[in-house]
Amino acid sequence: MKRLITFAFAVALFASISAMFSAESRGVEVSDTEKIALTSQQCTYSQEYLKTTLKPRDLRARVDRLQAYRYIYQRLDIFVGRLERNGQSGATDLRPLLNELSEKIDNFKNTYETYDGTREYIATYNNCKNDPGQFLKSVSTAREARQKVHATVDDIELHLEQSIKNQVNVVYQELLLAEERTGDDNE
Amino acid sequence: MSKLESHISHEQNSNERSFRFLQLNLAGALSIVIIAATLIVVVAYSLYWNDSDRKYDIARGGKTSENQVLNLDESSVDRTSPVDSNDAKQKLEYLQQELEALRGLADFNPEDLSDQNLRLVAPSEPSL
Repeated sequence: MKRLITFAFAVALFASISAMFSAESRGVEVSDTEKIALTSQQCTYSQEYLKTTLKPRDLRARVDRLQAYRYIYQRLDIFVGRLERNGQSGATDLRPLLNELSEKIDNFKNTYETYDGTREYIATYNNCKNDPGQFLKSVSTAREARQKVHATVDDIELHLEQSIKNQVNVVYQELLLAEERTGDDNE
Repeated sequence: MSKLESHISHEQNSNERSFRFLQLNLAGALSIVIIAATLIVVVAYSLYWNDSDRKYDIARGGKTSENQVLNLDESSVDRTSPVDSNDAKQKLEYLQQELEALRGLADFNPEDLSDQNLRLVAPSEPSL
């Protein structure tokens, strides 16, 4: 009897531990049919989240980022302009990088516009309860579009961090060297 | 009355009529100005309302910008003098600060459109 009770206890313990670490810890895995049914029930909450939480956050991010990118571009343009005006080295390498930055900023703006349209579409889709399949397809499209925006953000940061900053550093090193040489010549 | 005199008289009369038409009292002049101003406002507002970029007009008066990149005071606006090593070094420092400020902005994390955030997952089973 004791053995039976111990065995039953071990089985119960094992079952509960398995349940804790199963894939259901983040939500129940559902089949496609269940997913469609769930979407039909929950889509209005999704739309509410898109309208009241995500849209304002995205707008703020887009406005702030574009302002920041343009500000950084303008300041770099002034710097490169000074180099060009005085025939200093480094200008010929920096100018194409700056042009590339301008293209990447336009790319960010355009990919955001595309994403904004897809997000608005799902947020205002009237038939999500009756046609959850279409709703899910639109969500998938919006996810891809958002991923592209994210990629352009990373791209610009990489370009600034690696290409432009490195080239400005090269200019700095060359100027430092030239100034040291001039100092030595004067002595 | 000779032909010339009658012609001059006719012209004077028509000029007087035109002039009377153009003569306005203060109320009339003010009405015209108000109507013109209203038209300008209506046209300007409809141009603003129909602009596709209107949705990005989120700044409101009285609020300071929270965009840290714009708050960096890269005060040098010298556009003409030769760049020296100090200028280049300063430019590097500003670039670094701008990059750090950029990282503080939202970056369109794909996680924001996850099933969890969209509430498209079934709630997990309650534990026993």
